[in-house]
Amino acid sequence: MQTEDGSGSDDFRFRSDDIIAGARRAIMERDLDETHEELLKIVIFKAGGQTYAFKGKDVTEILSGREVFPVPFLPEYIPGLINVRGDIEAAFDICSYIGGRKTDADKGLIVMVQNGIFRTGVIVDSIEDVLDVPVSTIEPPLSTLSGVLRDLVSGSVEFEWKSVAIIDVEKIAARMIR
Amino acid sequence: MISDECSQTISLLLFRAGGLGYGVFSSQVNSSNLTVPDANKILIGLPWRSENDGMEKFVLNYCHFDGFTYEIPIDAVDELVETPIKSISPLPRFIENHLLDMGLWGILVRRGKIFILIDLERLACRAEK
Repeated sequence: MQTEDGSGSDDFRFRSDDIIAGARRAIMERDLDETHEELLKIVIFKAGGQTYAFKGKDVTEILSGREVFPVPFLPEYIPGLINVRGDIEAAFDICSYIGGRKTDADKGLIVMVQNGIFRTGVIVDSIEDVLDVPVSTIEPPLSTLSGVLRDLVSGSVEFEWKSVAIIDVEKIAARMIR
Repeated sequence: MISDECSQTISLLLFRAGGLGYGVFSSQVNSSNLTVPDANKILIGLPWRSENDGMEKFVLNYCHFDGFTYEIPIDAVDELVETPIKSISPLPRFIENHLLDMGLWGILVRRGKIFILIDLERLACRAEK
């Protein structure tokens, strides 16, 4: 899309886009209050310039300003370890793992995720939103997904007119602990 | 080294190598000296570059149970510490086996710095395979 200053940007949004999104969300939340539909908490985040989501139940906390300590012999998608109040955890670059570009561990946030005994810090660029979405609105994974990502996604959710892949931490754990 | 099950502390020699902090059981280090490392004695599989470039370096000497003495060239010795076992952080489970295979077994956080713990015996056994 062409912006007013002439520079091209896919991220450009009109002010009315935000207002419409807010209004739609308000209607959705009002409808939910009325119908008591089962909700799923979703954490929307960006990593490597792409938007993804985690299920809220898989996210234990979000950390900022955390130093990633390099350790030899780790795979490329684990740039190092982090110290979480005395517990040493791995920093996991999800974007690199699924074949995208590396996420800058020093500039981003760490989303701590856990599933059973599997626990790790996922490096992300930013947290976009935390939403309660009706379970009925969760769509199957996009058929266009390929590679490792296809194996990690359990569904998709609409966010700002785009379909966002929900990455299932249980599926990451299954690949890591085998 | 852990002397028995009731032992509450371990003695570690902390040092720097390749820009990172490391620690080894002090009991595994027989001596240290400033010398030109012997290429035939340098322990294979160390996590940092350790070629013999003809320069004098700090060298830790480790005597393996088969009687062979390995040399471990390092940048500098930090300190000798007696630390509670409970202060040692195990490695994250899903990368533990991979790192154990490389001789790395835990992490010590000391004054905000991370020291990667190496078991020289484990590393030497791997080198001999």
